Amino acid sequence: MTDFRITFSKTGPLVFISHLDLTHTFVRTFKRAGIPLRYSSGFNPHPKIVFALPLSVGTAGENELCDIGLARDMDKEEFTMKLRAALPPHIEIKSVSESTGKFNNVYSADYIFSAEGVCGICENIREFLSKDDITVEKKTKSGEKQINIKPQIFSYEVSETDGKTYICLCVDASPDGYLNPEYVMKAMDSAGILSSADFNCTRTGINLK
Amino acid sequence: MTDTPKKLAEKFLKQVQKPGRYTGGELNETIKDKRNIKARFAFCFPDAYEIGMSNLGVKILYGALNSDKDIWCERAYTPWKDFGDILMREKIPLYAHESGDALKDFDIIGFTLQYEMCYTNILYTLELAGLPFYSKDRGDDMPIIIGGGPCSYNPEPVADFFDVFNIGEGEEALVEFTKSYIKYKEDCQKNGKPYSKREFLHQAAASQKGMYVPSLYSVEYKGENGTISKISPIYQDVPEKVERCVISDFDSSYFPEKSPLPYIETVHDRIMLEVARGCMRGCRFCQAGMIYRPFRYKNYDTLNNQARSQYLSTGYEELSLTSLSISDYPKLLPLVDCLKEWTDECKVGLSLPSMRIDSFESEIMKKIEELRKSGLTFAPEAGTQRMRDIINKNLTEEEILRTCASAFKNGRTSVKLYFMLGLPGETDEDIIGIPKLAQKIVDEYYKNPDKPKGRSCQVSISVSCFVPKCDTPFQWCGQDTREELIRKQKLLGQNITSRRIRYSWHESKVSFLEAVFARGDRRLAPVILQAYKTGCVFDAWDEFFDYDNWLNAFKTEKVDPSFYANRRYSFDEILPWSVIDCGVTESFLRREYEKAMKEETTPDCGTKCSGCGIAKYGIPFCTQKRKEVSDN
Repeated sequence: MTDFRITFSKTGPLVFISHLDLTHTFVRTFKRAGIPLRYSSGFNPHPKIVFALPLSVGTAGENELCDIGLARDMDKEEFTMKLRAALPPHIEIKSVSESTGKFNNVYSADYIFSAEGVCGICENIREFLSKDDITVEKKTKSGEKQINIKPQIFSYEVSETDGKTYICLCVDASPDGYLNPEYVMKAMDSAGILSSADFNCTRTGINLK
Repeated sequence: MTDTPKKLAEKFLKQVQKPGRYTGGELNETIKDKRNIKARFAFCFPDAYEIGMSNLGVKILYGALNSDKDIWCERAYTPWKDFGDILMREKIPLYAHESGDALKDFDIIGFTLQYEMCYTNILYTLELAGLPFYSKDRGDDMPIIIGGGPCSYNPEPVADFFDVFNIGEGEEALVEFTKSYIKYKEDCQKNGKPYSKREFLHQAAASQKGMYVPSLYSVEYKGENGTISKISPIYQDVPEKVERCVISDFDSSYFPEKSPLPYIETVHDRIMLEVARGCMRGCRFCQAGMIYRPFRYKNYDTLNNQARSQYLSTGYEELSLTSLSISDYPKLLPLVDCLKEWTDECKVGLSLPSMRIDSFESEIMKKIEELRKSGLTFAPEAGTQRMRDIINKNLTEEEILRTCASAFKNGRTSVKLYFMLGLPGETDEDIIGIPKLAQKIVDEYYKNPDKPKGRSCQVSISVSCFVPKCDTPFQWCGQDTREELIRKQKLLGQNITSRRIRYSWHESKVSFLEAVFARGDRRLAPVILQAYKTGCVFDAWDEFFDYDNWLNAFKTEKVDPSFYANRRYSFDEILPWSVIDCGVTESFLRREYEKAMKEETTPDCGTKCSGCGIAKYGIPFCTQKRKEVSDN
């Protein structure tokens, strides 16, 4: 069976729905589209819809990845057309390709944080991010831990245009080293560099190995 | 252009729980061009989004209003406290989901009153919208506030907050009301006279059936703390009794092809197909069984089409056949067969809630069984035959045991049963009868030779407190005091004889307040306002419910709650809700009450017409049954 991998965006009010709600939204979309999904066998069958990387509530996604298991072979054009016709508002399909395996090769993810009306802080941010040690407090099962997240920040870019401050971050998204970029923002917030509540976050890409 | 309140509120969404409640933008929401609209209607469910989005009535009325080209109906819900606090602090007025415009700029705001414990939420919603609480304090520049739903059969406790109530079924009445509002406004413009809300409401009350305008009636009492001495309209052209609206041709009545599909999880994420309306059983405690009469149902091909279009527009994985007693639908098997022709293939599960215990025909059971092994739930309501006869449940112990036995044979191991405590005429023996019945069901499980090895059964009994409701044969009965209810709850617990029985009971505090408001009058409005001002809101939610606060509010307003909850109303007293004509006559209710006290039962309407008075609506089901009676 050929499964498809879709690249989609999720914006507007959909920024505020959880990963589980997004899954339900997709299942219903495929049902409306009349695209037959493959269900897992077992006592409580569920459709094979697998996302590369869950998105936190509050974060928009521009190029999210998702694999769709089909119950029967389908032409790619037909699949894309039917799916697009059934989409709810604020989800767009950017591209469809054949799925090439599981998402165990997720490597990094790109994020843009932007804040309107926030100016003159770029230098401070750059200085902060250039440090070798960015230690944050992480809540784990065994209590709170001090962790240096700098090794998980792969690259960054800070800029200001038209009274808007942009912070682009590429951070570790691998299964062992996943970093929630909010930790970076919180670290700068507690260092008094910015107020993280001013920033909106968009994930612009998920990079596979 | 200035930003809408919704836009202004956006940046705070990250700070609240479940922000998806406040964004709108769902699939199937109705967006219209404001410039072409003559009346803007905000349909408000006074509780959380997840509850409101699950309500079938809202879906129907939203669709019905929007099917008129001159009307744009939008949705609103009571914001959860965290978001409401932010709106209040930031002075952002509460908005409707579709346009994001402030509610206070709408023509009409409708509240559906589904349960008494939402009353403080109405005040909270009004305050967030920036509107005064009392109808008399809202000017002509403010929206008309209209109420409806089951609690409007006794709207008196909240009557002073509302401008008008739509009594009965709203899919035609609300559209008509809104259209006459449009016409009135246009006439004013044409004749160059100022719009007067009061004049319009007076007109509506006088000319449209089912429109109750509380300010057009005066209520007098026998002394400050006495019963009602007189309710009378203050104008001659306003009817003495407001007659309920009833849809006569139910099969062709409006049902939406599509409804807004929530992105976030709600209470009922499924297609709700309204198979029948009304119930022919006549259980004597049950308000729904009286106020939705007569029993009407849709043809199965109508239902199949409606289900199909709902599925195509939502993609839901579950289809629920909704009615007060689904097994009374005369063509249930053909309907299920017809639906299963496509639901199986589309992987849509069928669910049939509110099955009567005596109706678990194995054929239907088997069909449903294939899909999902959900829990089996019944409502015998009472533990002894005597008590079940008093409430007219028309259900024998043998039927209960036989059904449970057959469920066990089908491989189920758990059963849930609903009961009520504090019913009129109840003795301790009736209470002990509840765990006794549960024990017999447990025994039934062990009698089954094919029971699964190594697995025990579980019989859950969930016990609520009886709340006397208006328009039922028990409307005159007082509720047991809380002390008595607590004693009964303990007595029941002490008589449980097996560890296979799991017992849970409802908090009597909530039931007590429900009883106060279910049978209350206009003197309760200041109490509700006082409770709200001292912090009561979302009273239906455990984490918010504050009983002591409520008691203080009664004390402050010098109102005795037990006057409404525990007092036995006399037969010759003027009942607060007597201004509303629900269709069932008071003499029928009285007759039923007397039969109850004699432990006599009344057959269901399908068997024999009991002369409840609803036949005056001339609905075929009723007229036919009436004829059968007169023929014999």
